[in-house]
Amino acid sequence: MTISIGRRRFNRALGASGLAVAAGTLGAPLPLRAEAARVVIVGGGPGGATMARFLKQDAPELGVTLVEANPVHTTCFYSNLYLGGLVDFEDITHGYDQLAELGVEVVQGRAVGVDAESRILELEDGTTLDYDKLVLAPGIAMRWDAIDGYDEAAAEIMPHAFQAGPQTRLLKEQFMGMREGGTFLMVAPPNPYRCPPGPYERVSLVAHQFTQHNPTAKILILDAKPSFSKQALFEEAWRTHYPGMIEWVPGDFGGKVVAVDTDAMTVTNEDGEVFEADVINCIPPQQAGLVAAAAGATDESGWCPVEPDSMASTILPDVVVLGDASLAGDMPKSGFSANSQAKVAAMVLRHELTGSRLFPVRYRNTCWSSTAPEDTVKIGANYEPRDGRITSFDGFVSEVGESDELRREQRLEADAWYASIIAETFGTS
Amino acid sequence: MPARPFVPRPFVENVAAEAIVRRGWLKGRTLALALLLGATTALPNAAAGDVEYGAYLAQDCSSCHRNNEDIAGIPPIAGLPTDYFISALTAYKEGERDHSTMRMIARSLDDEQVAALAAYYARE
Ligand SMILES: Cc1cc2nc3c(=O)[nH]c(=O)nc-3n(C[C@H](O)[C@H](O)[C@H](O)COP(=O)(O)OP(=O)(O)OC[C@H]3O[C@@H](n4cnc5c(N)ncnc54)[C@H](O)[C@@H]3O)c2cc1C
Repeated sequence: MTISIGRRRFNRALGASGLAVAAGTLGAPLPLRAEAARVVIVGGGPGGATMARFLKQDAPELGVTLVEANPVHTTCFYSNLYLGGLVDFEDITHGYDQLAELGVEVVQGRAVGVDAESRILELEDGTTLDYDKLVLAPGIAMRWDAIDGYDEAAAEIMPHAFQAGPQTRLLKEQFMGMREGGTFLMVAPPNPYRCPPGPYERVSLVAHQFTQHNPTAKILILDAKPSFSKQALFEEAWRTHYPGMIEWVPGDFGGKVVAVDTDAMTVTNEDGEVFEADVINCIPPQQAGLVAAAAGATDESGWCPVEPDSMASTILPDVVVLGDASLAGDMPKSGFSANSQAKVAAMVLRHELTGSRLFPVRYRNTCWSSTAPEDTVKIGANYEPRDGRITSFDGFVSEVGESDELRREQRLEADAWYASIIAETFGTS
Repeated sequence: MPARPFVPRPFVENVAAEAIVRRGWLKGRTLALALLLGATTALPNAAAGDVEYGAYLAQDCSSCHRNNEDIAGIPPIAGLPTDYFISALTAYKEGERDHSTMRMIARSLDDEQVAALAAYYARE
């Protein structure tokens, strides 16, 4: 410990000159106490930002640094409601001021590499940050090689909008400006991917816009999968609210897209059939955010294996992986999951670094999906480490044919959840 | 109509208690009510509740429930009287109260955990 403090101090002094450090976070001189360990977190989404908050709030003596590539974070959750015209873009975009106020050192920069043996994180601009514990919560990266012709440039023409921000705005502009009676085509990804019900909630809320602005428009989903999350519920909603508008093609019946052509605005399935559309929302296969692979925290699947009782990397020492980037057993890749994992992992990290109490580990998830402004369904489960794996036990899912009143109440519930997770992640408590 | 003084009944009847929370009657009066009820009711479980454990467990609640802000859709739960808190969770657990998420949560909590949560939330 003593040696690393010298090193830590040196690097931090060096680092400060080249970094945009949020004001008011490092007023005090460096702590001389050996126990003031330093945790560096990569990624300020629900995984990383929740970790930063809970660590700093519960163990103010720890040095907590949050490295985030962007000045603000637009949440993917509720981005479909933005597409559907139910919330504003500003409502889903959040900054890091309040985390900084809490004492989290917020560094704007992109992490590109990790020296796990020396415990050093490297940023794109060449800065290095020393850590005692590193938390990787970088979310997902698209597999640009997976669909022929679908690369970063193609995503500017056929947006995925599965990382919220400019992509989300672009997709909305495209389908709101679509010609009358045109076709919106979604390429839905194979498992595992971010937010299992996300593509189908999106289609529902795009259909909601079309019923008002372009009632003869059509929506076609070409899906790599044979079935999808909450399928019966979505299909019920599509029949009820958007009869005849949405067609879903499963993987075994021509849904597997292998190539796109951005000039012709077409996609091609594995049987060689070509589909033309006016707007193409291409959601490709995914992998852990690139820094995870650069760090060496991923396995052959492209995701990060973790210990089920701590979210610690099973590959790298002193590294924790949270959220979508992790292989979290039965847990879906959701914002709710990332937030839940972060709280558990913060409890364990705090125990390791400060000797605080260790409590039983349990994770939770609930995902609401709005199929129309006042028709919201949900699914949820509990999770526990069992036999070396995060395993679900008990759960619930909405039922087909529920009352309109319940579905309306669940929309209010979803709104309240959004307010809560945002307050907890980016806000004041 | 002259204002009727608010007389809190023992929180055994879940429906009544639910209504009180729903209508925001606890707002602003939460602490006084909690104290009043605490003083009039014997709470062996809550007395044994491990507040630090409760604080950890409450991190699951705070994913959805705000502490004091009243957001339509999910009621605030901080400051709820201990016996109400326990009886509500018990009612969810036994299926007497209807809510899919809360039933699942309650089913996963043992008596020690419920007591810990109740003790934590009563303190807030
Ligand atoms: C359309 C859609 C709808 C969804 N709806 C829901 C929902 O209703 N409920 C729900 O629970 N979930 C939902 N999700 C899923 C949810 O958005 C993700 O599961 C969640 O965002 C994962 O959180 P995370 O912290 O792991 O990653 P992210 O949210 O992706 O955050 C990662 C952060 O890390 C930053 N970053 C990445 N790499 C680096 C680097 N190298 N250096 C510095 N910073 C970096 C990024 O800028 C980003 O801010 C939805 C997703 C989509 C696409």
